[in-house]
Amino acid sequence: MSDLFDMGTHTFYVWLAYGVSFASLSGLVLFTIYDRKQAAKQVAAKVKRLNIRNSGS
Amino acid sequence: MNWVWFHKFGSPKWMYTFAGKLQAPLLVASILAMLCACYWGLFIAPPDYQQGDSFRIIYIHVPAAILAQSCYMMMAVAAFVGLVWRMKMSDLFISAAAPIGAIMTFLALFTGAVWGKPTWGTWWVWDARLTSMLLLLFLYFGVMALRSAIPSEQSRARATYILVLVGVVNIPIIKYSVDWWNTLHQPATFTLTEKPAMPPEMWLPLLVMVIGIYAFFTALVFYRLQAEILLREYKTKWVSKELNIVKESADE
Repeated sequence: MSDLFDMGTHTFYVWLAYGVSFASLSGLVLFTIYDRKQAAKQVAAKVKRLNIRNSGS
Repeated sequence: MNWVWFHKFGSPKWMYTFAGKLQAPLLVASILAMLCACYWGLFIAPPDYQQGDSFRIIYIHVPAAILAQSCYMMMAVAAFVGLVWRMKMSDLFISAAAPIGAIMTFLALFTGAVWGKPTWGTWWVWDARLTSMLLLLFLYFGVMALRSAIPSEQSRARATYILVLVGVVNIPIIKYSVDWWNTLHQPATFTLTEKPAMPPEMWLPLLVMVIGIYAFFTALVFYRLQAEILLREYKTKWVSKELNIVKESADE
């Protein structure tokens, strides 16, 4: 199994590139999900305020 | 010519539904394609006769670099449409795409450096290709910083369009830098007009990765675009309906 991952003198460079890429893309997905949740909260709060204003007038 | 399809993209509600329908299948397909391409590129494709195994970095480096540039071109087209036809969706698209473009540019630069070390003997040189790519990264950062600095929706959109359109001059510089100036960077491996200089068992995984990364980008843009649309359209009835927000005290 470890044979499969061995790329001689290039092992470190290849796996560094793939590892960092995997981490960055996963991070991007997590950040996007977090961002979306924050946006949903913000929208809910805004709509609530709007409804209160409308019902008050 | 029938322009109905074009106007649909400008309708927030239509776009929200359209994006919602496509994002999940796109994401699943993209992850499958990218995993396939990774396995193929890492374990099945033969090593390069000159560069050995380090050439396998190409399967990340090239797709990331292609997407970094075409994401910027898409943003530029959106900016032009937004500036000329005042299409609000342009601003939302740029806001959704910029962070993804920034990550792709970072990946192209990082994997390039990691590939450069065993191949050229250095992580970085200040040559035209690398420097113009770094400039692209700063353009993405600039767009994001500019957007967070302007509170007014209209002036933010206009400022964004202008910055994006000014920055587009950098794109042909990136593309032709390897032909115009002396550089360590090798010229493009693939062109649309010529046969690839690689055997199929080497370029097929690359093709799969490029398709996968485009699908990944589209899925994420759609997902982010939906959030942008909700934020901008919160006053409309369909948003309340979509989010299941019931009017608590009103209507009585």
